[in-house]
Amino acid sequence: MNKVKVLILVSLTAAAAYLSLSYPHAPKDILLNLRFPRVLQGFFTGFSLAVSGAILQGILKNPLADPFIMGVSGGAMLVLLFCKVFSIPDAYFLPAAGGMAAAYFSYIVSRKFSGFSNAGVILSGIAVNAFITALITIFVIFRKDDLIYFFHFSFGNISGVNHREIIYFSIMSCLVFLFFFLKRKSFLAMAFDEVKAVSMGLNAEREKILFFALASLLASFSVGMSGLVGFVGLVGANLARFIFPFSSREYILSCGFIGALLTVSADFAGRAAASPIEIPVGALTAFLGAPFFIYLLYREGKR
Amino acid sequence: MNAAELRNVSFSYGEKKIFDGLSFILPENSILCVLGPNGSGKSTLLKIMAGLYKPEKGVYLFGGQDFSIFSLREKAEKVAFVPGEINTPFDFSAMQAVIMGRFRFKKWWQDYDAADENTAMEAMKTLDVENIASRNINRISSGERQLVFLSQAMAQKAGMLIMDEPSSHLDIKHKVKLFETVFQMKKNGLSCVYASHDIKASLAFSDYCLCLKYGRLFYFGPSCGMSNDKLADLYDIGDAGNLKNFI
Repeated sequence: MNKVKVLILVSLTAAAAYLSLSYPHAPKDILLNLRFPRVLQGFFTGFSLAVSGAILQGILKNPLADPFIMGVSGGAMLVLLFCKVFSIPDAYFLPAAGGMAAAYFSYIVSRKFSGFSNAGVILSGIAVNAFITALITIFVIFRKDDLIYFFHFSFGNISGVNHREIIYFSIMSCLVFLFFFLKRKSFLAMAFDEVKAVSMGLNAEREKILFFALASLLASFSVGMSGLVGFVGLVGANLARFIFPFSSREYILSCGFIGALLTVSADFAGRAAASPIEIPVGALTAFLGAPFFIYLLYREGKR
Repeated sequence: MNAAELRNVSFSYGEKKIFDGLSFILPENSILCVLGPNGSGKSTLLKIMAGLYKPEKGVYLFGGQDFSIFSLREKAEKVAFVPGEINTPFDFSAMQAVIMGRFRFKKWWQDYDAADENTAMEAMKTLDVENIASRNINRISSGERQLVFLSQAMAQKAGMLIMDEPSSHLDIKHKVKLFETVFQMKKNGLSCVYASHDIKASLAFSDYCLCLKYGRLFYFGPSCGMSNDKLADLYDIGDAGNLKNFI
């Protein structure tokens, strides 16, 4: 039964991708050089964010965790700030590195002050994000020309121009996903009970670090490539749990595809709705995501 | 060969000292019940015996060897621990929970297979919960849950089972099942340590009793040696006569 659901999901995603590629009608070289990379970028951005969200929700045992919870978005924005200030070109891997650094910082801080507790990680992530957002806000007051730049970053920016980086990103996402899939047993044990996990022979602390690293990697590269696409990580993983049981083999894959479906659809809608004006992906995912999220909470309350 | 031994063990949580210089020897293939008022260090002792905490001072010997030198997998082979509470917001079926007990047998990339499923099912049959194998653990009764978690520990096939308050949420039917299973484990050559507030059942189904009173060793010896008077003293109950209504 689960396999049938996955098949339906994959078909829907393929349909969305096809739609995004073919409308509005365009000559072949535009399709190949512009649109296909863009759809691919959208697909893997959504895929990575939803899988990252799923990993973090499982490890933190918190259905409200999102991929940016460890400060990834803050770290990426801080690096972009430096790039602006010192006029360095912002290659996509720099903000990604910034995201990873911020996640690492959250880990160190939470470990020092709360013994690497789940609450500690979340709190330090919030602190990092908040501090850097404040910094950015002050910065753009003095440099209003950069406001548009940060605005575009904050709402996602799936342009499809960096072909090589998109390929790397796609491959990396697949590899991380495959590795995580192999580590399913540990993931499920941690999401069940950390104390029991240790008693069953798992090195809980090491596994936690590993899973945080995988989730941060996916989220950081997503942010580095496509800016902040909000809600996909949160809604994607929660929605997947309504259709697939958490401990099923298909759960994580379905998270990825739901995230991809959301992002590709939102990107398409953003292009087509007010053509030639493009509404950024993040604006649409937030617009659709927020009410949907409230609906999920309502369903949860009824259970 | 003794199952377990504590020699002069001291342990603190940060500043707070839990116990100091605790020593006892548990012979092989026996059942130990741990009694005492709340806050006496029963849970801490169980966690030390399960290898989750390391003694600050002194040594914890398992089968004659220092337990802290074993790897996590080796520890899992020797001891299976059932915590007092397990809470997860996610939906696991009883089978999916029990099969996790097989973790130590698998390589990191391997998934659980049909053989693991059979072992898990057998463990559930022993505890009479095989009929709820496909039910969500968050939707079954607390008694059924506890038995599912006990099945999980049994599927681990460790030499010693350590349980923290296993009977606290159980109705009489499930309590009987639990203690009968523990007793049966001894017949199968295993040992068991548990903390419980079900005093009568605990003493009836165990060989040895260890009583902790606020970190001090109050009593260690055969369970039949625990009298009502000693219990009244342990739990600071003024009138030992009243105890007859409870045990």
